[in-house]
Amino acid sequence: MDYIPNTDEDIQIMLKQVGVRDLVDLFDTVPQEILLDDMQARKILKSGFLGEHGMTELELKSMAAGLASRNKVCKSIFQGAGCYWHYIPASVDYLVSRGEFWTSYTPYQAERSQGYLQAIFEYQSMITELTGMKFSNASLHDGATSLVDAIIMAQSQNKKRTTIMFAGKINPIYMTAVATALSPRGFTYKHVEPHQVIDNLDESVLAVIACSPDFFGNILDVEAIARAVKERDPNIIVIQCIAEALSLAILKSPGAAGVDIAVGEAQSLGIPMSFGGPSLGFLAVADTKLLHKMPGRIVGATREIAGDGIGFTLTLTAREQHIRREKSLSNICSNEALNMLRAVIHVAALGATGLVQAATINVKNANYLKHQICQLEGFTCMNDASTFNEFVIKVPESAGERIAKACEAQDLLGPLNLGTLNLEWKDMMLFCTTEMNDVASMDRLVNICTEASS
Amino acid sequence: MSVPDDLKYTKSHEWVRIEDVVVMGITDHAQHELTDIVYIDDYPEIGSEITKGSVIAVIESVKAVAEVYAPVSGILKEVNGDLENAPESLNAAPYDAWIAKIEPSNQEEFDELLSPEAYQEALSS
Repeated sequence: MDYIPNTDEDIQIMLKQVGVRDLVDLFDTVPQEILLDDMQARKILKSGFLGEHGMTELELKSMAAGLASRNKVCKSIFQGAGCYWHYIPASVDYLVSRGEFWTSYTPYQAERSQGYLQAIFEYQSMITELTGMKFSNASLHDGATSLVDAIIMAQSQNKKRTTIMFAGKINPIYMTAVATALSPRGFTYKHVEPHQVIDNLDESVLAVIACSPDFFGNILDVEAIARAVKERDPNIIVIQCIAEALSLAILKSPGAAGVDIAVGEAQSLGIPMSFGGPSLGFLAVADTKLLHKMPGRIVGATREIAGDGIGFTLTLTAREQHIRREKSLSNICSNEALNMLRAVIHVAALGATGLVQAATINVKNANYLKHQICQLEGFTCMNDASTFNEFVIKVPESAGERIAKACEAQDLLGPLNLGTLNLEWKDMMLFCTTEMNDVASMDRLVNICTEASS
Repeated sequence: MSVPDDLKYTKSHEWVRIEDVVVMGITDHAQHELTDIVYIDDYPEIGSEITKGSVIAVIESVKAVAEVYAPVSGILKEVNGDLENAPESLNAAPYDAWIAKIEPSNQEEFDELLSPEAYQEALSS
């Protein structure tokens, strides 16, 4: 598809039609504090970002290289907190760069793109296999917005209830997304320890969200929570929110645990960290009733009219936003196609055995590092459950800052200082290890911690 | 388009049979316009009070979504649970596939329902 920019004449006609003087006036609803000043803006709009005379390719490249060199590239990363450092097989980058796949969305005239639809179908199959759920959609933006959509789905089942209960630690960024997106709905949010769920249930509880692995890396007994909740009140929707999709390779699946909706972050499956996004949200459900409330695309397979071939098609589209319009539950009308495709290729490249091996190395590395650090004077592990690839350590007072500085000096991205997110988490640090962290780098981090405490 | 003589109708294409309670569904014309129906849900709670014209179900077809409106005010007594697994019966036999039973609270509203002739006329105009 050619990119055809608007000519100055086009722009003038459009501006006249909507009745504004120029482009600066067109954007005057944008808050002043984030706008370039008027002079700057007029200059850029007049002559472009590259100045009146433009730039040569050489000048442009060297400017971009100069900007890029200001990035700090770490040799080893010990931070996760929602975005994870994993090895991505070379086949992923190669295959997604094929021209046929270059789109961020479900293609228009989707059925003409049988290859893409098949990729989405395979993705759905992989998610249902990994989660043990019956139906998956074609993917969503990220873990946080998937959780938002899961709560909206829960509300469709029970319009009178207003309490959302979180068991385990929810990522504060997810919580911000939930509180922002759902603010007009008047929900009350309760955060409880996993063993306190049952004691806190009442008639107002719409959904229980079991976070596992949770923000602290804890693995919850989701099955016990789901069973107890359903025994008390089968109308409560149990949602599992999964911080790290790779964990699904070795942990009991949400389906086997008996949850109604499984959502989470699948950035770990072949998507680079890229400054924290874009990532990939997954959403899967256990039954047909919820299937009809599921946002986003669903690809189905069908038999061809002539012959025995299989064809792929968008299905159950009457659920979707472009048909339901103001009655739709969600504003999602496409999917995160390119990242979804990366996940499909990544999972296929690793295979079932490879996924299990990768997940196992994550746990082993995390357990090794946790064990080493817990032996240090003044360092205490705050996890009361088994962990996946993250864990939380309470460090000696103000050692956190020294650890961060020392890590930076050695080109490591150190653990996340949780006190910056929540005062209750003062002096706590969230560590993450994946298959990428070798023993030497973990030992360097242990040394840094040892020195920081003295 | 079939418009049985023994029923009453609404302009929004619901049929109504007045028994001890009000039994209602969608007309042959409605199912034909919607094409293949694949799902019906979003009923109010059984026992809840509904007003004439309020939404008492949402129907999904392969092409569209349509709301079903209460033809009269009253208490929602029952919905047809068979439709959950066989929504296609709304296409196959629209006048057998009832959707809801309502205990009417205001019998004067019956006068506002359309006769078969009036509905037929509304369809052809």
